[in-house]
Amino acid sequence: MKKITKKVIAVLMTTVFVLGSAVGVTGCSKKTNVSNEETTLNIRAFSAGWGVEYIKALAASFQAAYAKEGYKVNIVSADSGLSGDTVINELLLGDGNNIDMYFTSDITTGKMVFYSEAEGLDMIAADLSEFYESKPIKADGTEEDITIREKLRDGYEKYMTYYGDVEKYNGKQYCFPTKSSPNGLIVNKALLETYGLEVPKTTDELINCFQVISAKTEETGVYPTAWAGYNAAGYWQSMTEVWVPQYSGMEAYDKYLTMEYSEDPSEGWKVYEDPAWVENLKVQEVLLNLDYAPPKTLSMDHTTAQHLFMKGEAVFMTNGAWLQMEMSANYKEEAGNMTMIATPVISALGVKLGLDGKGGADTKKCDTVLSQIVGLLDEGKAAEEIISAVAVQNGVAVTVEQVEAIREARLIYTDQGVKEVVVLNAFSEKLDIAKLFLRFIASDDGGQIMYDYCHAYPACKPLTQLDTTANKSAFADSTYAIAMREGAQFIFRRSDGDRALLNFAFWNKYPAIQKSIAESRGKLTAEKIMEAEIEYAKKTWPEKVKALGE
Amino acid sequence: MERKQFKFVAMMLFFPILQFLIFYVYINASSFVLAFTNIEGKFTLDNFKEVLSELKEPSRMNLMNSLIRSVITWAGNLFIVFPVCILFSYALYKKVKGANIFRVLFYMPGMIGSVVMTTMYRYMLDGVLLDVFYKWGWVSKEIYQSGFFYGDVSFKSVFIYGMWIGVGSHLVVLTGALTRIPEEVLESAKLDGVGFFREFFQIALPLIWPTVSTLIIYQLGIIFTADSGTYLLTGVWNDRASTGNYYLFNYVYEMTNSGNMNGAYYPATVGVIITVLTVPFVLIVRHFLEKHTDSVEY
Repeated sequence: MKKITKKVIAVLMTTVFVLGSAVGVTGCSKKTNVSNEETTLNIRAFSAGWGVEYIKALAASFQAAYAKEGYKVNIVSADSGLSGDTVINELLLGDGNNIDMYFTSDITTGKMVFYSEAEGLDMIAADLSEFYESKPIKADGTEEDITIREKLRDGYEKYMTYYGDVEKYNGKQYCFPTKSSPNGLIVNKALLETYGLEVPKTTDELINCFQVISAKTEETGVYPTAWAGYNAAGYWQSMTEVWVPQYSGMEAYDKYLTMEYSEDPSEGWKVYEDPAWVENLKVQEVLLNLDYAPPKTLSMDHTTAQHLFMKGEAVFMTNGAWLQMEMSANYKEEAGNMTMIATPVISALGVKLGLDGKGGADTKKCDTVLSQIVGLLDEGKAAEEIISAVAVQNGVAVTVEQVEAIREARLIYTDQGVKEVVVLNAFSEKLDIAKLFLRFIASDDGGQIMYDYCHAYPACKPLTQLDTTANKSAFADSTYAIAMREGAQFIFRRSDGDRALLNFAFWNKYPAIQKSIAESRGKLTAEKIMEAEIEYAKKTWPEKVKALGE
Repeated sequence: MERKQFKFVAMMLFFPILQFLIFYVYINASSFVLAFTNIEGKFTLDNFKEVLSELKEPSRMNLMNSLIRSVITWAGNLFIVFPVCILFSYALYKKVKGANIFRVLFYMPGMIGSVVMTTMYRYMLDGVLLDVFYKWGWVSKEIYQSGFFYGDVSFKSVFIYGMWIGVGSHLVVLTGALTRIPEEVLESAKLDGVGFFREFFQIALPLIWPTVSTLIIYQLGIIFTADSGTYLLTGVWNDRASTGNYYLFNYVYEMTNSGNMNGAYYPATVGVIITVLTVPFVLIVRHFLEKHTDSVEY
């Protein structure tokens, strides 16, 4: 009897162990519902602020359009863990990976080429260059008039393209962006107006807004801003970095990203000497005053900060175009009332340009003139009209060059749209269907779904006006208005060039720069920060370059 | 061994051995190689020079302070939490009033995921407690604005969490050891009029000492990497709460986050140095414990 009992227990244990292991292994892969049908696309999606409802809606429309062919879209999984690195790991499985398409975030063509080469594989993502030459296909099966390359928003293509040392991939596209996704300063306009304030056009005006709101905080319980030191202080970074190219131009900012100051790699550290950084930090020094944000800000998480903003306990917040979608479950109406505004122009630019007519000695006057010019530019006035208006109102003679410099500055914004892309598995046997689906996404019908389901505009510019009657989103419209301004240029904080190769962080002495500034309560000045950063860069750069073998 | 038995044993051991080979042997061997490799894949000792330079003159997050905080965390666990844990195990074993409820409560943190526990703790401390403390004047305006998980106070908050959460950590092993003590021994002690604490210190503790010393040795291995959920509690880049573990995590996290593909040499080297420092320490203490501990048989 004893022997039988032992055997039964052993068999039971083994069964449980084997079943447990099997379930564990398959559970880890999250691919339990992969379809083996030849006409079904298997998709994995990154689910964050934008959600995945729009992908489901796109899939449903695509399936309806290709019902005759029997093409289907199977969303295998959607979760917030599907970062670019995870996707690369899965793509490296080659033909052992049965996912055909990924909607992901934070993936670059450079990284995919790097890992493909490191593993001795051909490029793991499908080449989309020919697809870019094809035309979007509408829900009724007809083609639109222009190619996807032509339809794509200005500036997006370069982020989808590989530019690097591996010649055979150079100039080819491996990603496709789905949305326009500006981020920057969002304001609760109605709340701002209760203080008799207007939307700020310059950083000095922004600071004034903060001071006025803060002066009444004790009485109103409303703070100028809400931000999250725990996990999202970086939102400030993406917004405030606009001030650098505003002050010194896009080329200077680009050099900072790549650390390629000149042809001579040993001079890379000099990018930190650009005065734009000190000016940028001077504004942050003021805005990040902890009296301007709710208590516990440095330990606060982003969801809590958003919640306070939505509740009307803060007037400004640095955030992204996904805000409405992310918060719509609990704050549908409130989110719709928020407005993204063009980044206020850095007031130091007015001083640099000497807008007071005295070489910048009168900083207040410089800002008054700067604000007037920005306002007139926003109204679409021509340089000549602006020059005469400034002469009449402020008695200063500004030049066309000065106006154009301000115009360029005003049109710079940050866009995360190039970060959220679709990548196709190069080993998939269903690439034709996958590309058809992408062509549908690129169409105006696809764009309409994007607007309706995630309050975002598509990365491919709509050829016809989107129908905004059913799901009107003033917030989405405000984000798109920023992106679609004539001549608008966006910055995106990519990591490439020598900076990426040398693992050179953006801020080295103060990596959590906003938190450091805020916590110092005025002790850590812009000058001190830049001195430390320049010293670090100057000291470590030669060794790093040497290690790289340059 | 019979064929069937062999198959059973092989099957049971296959996954653990495979896991050990991949996640221990391969990972550690790979880290060891990386520590002696430069960006071109050639042999170098520069990584060690870089670590030593960081220890002397930190250029970014402070490695030395991180290691010291790990030692403090480890000491707190060993000298505060562990004795309390033994005492609580004994109390549960003796079925004090409400023992079953306490047993569940102590096991709870182990059953609930650390993300949930840290979130609860964060909301508890930074929520109503901070409001109340500030109102009563127990905390400064600076702490009220920063919260309990940023700045100089953050390590204290993390340390307290570690102490709180650690109490239930060894309960299963220790109560298991206690239940092996022969009833007769305790009954005889009771007849001799031995009280609760005397019974604990003079009978139970010596009898479970082999288990206790094994757990002490086990804890020695993490002296420079001990951590109590610093990342989950304070977020990334907290130089004032960082521990050895957090330091390494933060470095790699930041490295991958910035799109860098070449920088694992430095953290691998830190890992190798920590191992080199830890191994002799563990061996010495183990030798000492074995030498001064009588073997117990019952």
